[in-house]
Amino acid sequence: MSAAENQMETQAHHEKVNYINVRTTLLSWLVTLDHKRIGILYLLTVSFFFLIGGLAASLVRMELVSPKGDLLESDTYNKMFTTHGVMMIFFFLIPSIPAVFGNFLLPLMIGARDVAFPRLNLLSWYMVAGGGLLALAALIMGGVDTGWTFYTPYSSSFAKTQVALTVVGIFIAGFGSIFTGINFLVTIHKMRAPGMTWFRLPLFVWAMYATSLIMVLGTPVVAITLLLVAVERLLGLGIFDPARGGDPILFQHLFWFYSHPAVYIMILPSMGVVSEVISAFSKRRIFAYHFVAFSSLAIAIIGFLVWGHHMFSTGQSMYLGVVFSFITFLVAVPSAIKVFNWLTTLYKGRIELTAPMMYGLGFIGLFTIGGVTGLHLAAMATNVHLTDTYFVVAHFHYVMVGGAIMGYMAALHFWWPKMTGRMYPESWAKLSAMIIFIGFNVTFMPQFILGYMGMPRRYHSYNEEWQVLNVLSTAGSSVMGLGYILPLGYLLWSLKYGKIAPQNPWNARGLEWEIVDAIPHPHNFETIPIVTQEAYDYEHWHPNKPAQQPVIVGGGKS
Amino acid sequence: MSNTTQDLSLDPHGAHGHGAHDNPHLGEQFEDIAQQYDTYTVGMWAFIVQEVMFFGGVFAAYAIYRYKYLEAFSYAHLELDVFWGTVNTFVLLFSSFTMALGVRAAMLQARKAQIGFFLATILFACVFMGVKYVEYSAKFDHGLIPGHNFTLYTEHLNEVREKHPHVAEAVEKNPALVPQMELFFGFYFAMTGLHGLHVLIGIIVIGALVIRAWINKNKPLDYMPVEMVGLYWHLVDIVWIFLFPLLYLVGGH
Amino acid sequence: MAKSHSTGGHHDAAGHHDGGHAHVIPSVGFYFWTLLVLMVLLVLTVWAGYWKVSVSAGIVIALTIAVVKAVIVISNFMNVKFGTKQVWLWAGAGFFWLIILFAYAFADYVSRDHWMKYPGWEQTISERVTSEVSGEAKEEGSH
Ligand SMILES: [Cu+2]
Repeated sequence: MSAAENQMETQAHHEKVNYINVRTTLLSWLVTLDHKRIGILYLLTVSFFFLIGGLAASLVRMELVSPKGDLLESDTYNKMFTTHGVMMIFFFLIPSIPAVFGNFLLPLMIGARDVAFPRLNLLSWYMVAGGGLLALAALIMGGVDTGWTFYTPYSSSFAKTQVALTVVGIFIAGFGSIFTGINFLVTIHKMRAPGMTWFRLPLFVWAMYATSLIMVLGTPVVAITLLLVAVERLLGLGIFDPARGGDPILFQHLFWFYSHPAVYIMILPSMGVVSEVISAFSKRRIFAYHFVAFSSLAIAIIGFLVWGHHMFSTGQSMYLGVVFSFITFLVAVPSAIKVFNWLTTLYKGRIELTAPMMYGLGFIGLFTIGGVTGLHLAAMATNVHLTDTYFVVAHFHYVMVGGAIMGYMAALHFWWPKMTGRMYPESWAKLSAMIIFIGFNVTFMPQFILGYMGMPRRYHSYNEEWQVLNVLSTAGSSVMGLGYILPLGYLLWSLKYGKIAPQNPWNARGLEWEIVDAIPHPHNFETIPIVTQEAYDYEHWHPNKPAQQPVIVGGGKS
Repeated sequence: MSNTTQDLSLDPHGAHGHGAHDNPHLGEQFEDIAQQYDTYTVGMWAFIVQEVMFFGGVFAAYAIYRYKYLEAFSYAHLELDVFWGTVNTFVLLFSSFTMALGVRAAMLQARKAQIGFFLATILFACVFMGVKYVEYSAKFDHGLIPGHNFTLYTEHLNEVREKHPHVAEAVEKNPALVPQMELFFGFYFAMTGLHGLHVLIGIIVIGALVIRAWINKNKPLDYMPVEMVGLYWHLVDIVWIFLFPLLYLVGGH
Repeated sequence: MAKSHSTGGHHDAAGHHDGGHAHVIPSVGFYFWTLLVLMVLLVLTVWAGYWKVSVSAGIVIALTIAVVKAVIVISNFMNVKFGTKQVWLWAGAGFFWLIILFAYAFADYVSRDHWMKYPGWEQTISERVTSEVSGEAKEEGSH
C-alpha cells in the first residue's frame, strides 16, 4: 500500500466517529464514563505499575548474581522484593486483564451499550490508580520490607517501614477491584443483548464472571484483615500479636482466604483470553464449550476451599492440613479439563501461528508446568521440604508470569487492532513472543532446581555452589526484560505507523469483531444486536463467502 | 401477613414499554426502566454480599478468640452496659422501620412523607451515635482502652471488685487473663467502630437523598436510589443485630 | 446511536425480568407488625442473656434469635420476600460463603489442640526425639 493511499485511508478512517476521536481533551478522558476509555486508562495505569514492579525485580536479580550480599543491603533487598511483589500482584496482575480487557470487551461481547454502572466504573479506576500511588508514595518515603504477604506479627508489631501506608493503598485499590467485580457480575446478568443466552456467551465472559465472583466474595476479607493490621500498628489492639494473646496464624487464615483465590483472579481471565485466541486462530469452536465454561466456575468455587496449603508448615492443625491438601489436588481437575479441551480444539484445526496465538500456546505449556509443580507443593510431605525455597518462587512465577502475563500479552496483541484501529507489526511481535518465552524459561527453570537443592527465598546472599544457576537465572531475566521492552516500542510505533486495522482482521467470530466498527463507536452498537447463533460457530461461516449469513443479525429499527 | 400487601406499579408515569426513554431517570446504558430497576437491585445485593464478607472477616476473628479465651471474654463483656446496648438496638430497629416506610412513600410518590420518614431515620441514627459516644467515653474513663490505657484490671481492680467480685478474684489468681480481656476490648472497638462508620455514612447518604427530594420538587421522585439506600440501611441494622448479643449479652450476667 | 429496538427484545434475551413490572408495595401495617415482632425478639434476647445457662448454650440461643431477626429484616424490610429468585440467591450468597471461612477456621482451632493431646502422641515421640524437643512441643500445644 502506498503512502498516499494509506494517508487517504487514514482520513476516511478518522472521519467516522469513534470512541477515541469523539472527544480529545485530557479532561474528557479523566471524566469519561465510556467503558472502552476506562479500559484504556487502566492499560496505561497497570503498564506503569508493571514497569515499577519490573525494575524492582531486575534489582533483585542483579543482587543475586553473586552469592555475597554486595549490591544491596539486606534491608534494601527486602524492600525491593516487597515492592516487586506488591506492585506486580496488587497493582498489575489483579487489575490487568479484568480491568483493561474486561472493561473494554465485556459490553462489546455481550451486546450492551456500557457496563451496568459506568460512574462506579470510573470511580474504580480512580481507586486502583490512587491506591497504587499511595503504595508508590510509601515506597518513596522509605519502602516496605514485609514481603507482599504482610505476615504478622512482623508487619503489625515490629516492622519500622511504611506498612500502614502501603496497606491503606492496597485497601483502597481492593475496593476498586470489588466494585469492578460487582459491575461485571451485574453487567453479565442484566445487560446481555436479546438472544445472547448464557451458553452463547464467549468463554472470556464466563471467565470474567468467575473472576468477578472471587473479587466480590474474597477481596472484602483481605480488606478487613489488612485494615486490622493497619489499626493494630496505629492503635495497638493486639489481635495478631502473640505477646498479648493474639494469634498470627489467624492473619494467615484470613489473608489466604482471599489470596489463594486471588491467584485465580490472575489466571482465570488469562484462560478466558486463551479460549478466544485458540478458537480464533484454529478456526474451530472450542471443544466441549460447556465444560470449559463450567470449569471456570468450578475453579472459582473450589479455589476458596484450599487456602490452608500455604500454611502446612505453620502451627495449623494437621488434620485440617490433610483436608486442604486433598482439595488442592482437586483444583487440578478443572484446570486440566481446560487444557485438554484447548488441545482438542487445536487438533485438526487450521492453525495460524500469529503472535497472540504464540502467546496463547506459550500459556498452555507454561501454565501446565506451573500447575503440575503446584501439586508437589500441595502434597504435605514434599511441601515441608520445599516450603519457602526457590521451588515455590519458580512455581508461582510459572503460573503468574508464564500463565497470567502470557495471557495478558496474547490479549494485548489480539485486541490491539480493535482498541487502537492499527495493526501491530507481526514479525516483531512474534520475535518478542519468542524472546519472552525463552527468557522466561531460562529465568525460572533453574529456580526449580535451586529450590530443590534447598536455596531459601527472600535472602540477599546464598551458598556459593548455587551461583551458576543464579547467574543463569539472572541472564534469563535480562532476556525476558528485553522481550517486554520490545512490545512497548513497536506497539507505540504502530499507533502512528501501523497498518490501518480492518473491522475483523482475524476473521474471528464474536460481536466485537463482526458488528462493532474497526474502532468502536462511543455507543458500541448502532442498534442493539439480536444474537441468533452459538459462539465460535466457524463451521457455518466463511468470511470469504458472503452468501453465508453472519451469525448476528442487526435488530430493531434505527 | 402477606395478604396485607397490595400490588402497585413502580413506574412513576406508567411510562414503561412505549416512550420509556423519555423518563428522566433512565440511564443511557439501559433499554428500559424495568431493566434499570433489576440492574440496580442486583447490583445493590452484590454490594451487600461484599459487606457481609467484609464484616464476616472480623466476626470470624472475634468468634475464634471468643472460643479460645472463653473465660476472659465472659468476664470482660460484663463491663459493657446492656441498658445502652438495648436502647441502641431498639433505636436501630425503629430506624429500619422508618426507613422502610420512607422507601414505601417514595414508591408511592409521596414526597413529604418520604422526607419526613428519612429525617426521622437520620434522627434515630444520630441518637445511636450519641449513645455510642456516651459508651465510648465511659470506657475511656474506666481505663478500658486497649494498647493505651488498659488499667481497669490492674491499677483499678477495686472498682471491678465492687461490681463483679468473682472477676476480680479470677484476675488476681490468673493475671494472664488481663491481656485476653484487652483483646476483647480491641474487638469491641474495632467492630463497633466499623459499624459506627457505616452508620455515619448512612446518615450522610440519607441526608443527601432528603436534599435531592427537596430540590427536585417539580420532577417525579426517583425511587430507585431511595430503595437502594434503604437496603444499605437495613444491612447496617442486621450487623448490629449480631453485634449486640455477641458483645453485650453472651456469657451471662 | 439511538436506543432503538423495541423493549420486548431485551426481555426475551436473558429472561431476567420476572414478568411485568408491577412490584409489590407492602402496607404500613405489614411493616408495623414486622417491627413489633422484632421488638419482641429483642426483649427475648436480652432476657435470655440473664438466664443461668452455660456460655456455649447462651451463644447458641443468642445466635438463633439473631438469625431469626436478620431473616425477618431481610425478608420483610428488604423486601426479599417479594423479590425475584435471583435476589433470593444473592441475599443468601454472602452468608453462605461466610460458612466456609468459619468452618475452616474453627476446624483448625478445634483440632489443633487435639493433635497435640492425642493419646499416645507424647510417648511415641519421646521414644524417638530428645525430651527437650517434646517438652517444647507440649508447651506450644496447650494454650
Ligand atoms: Cu494457594
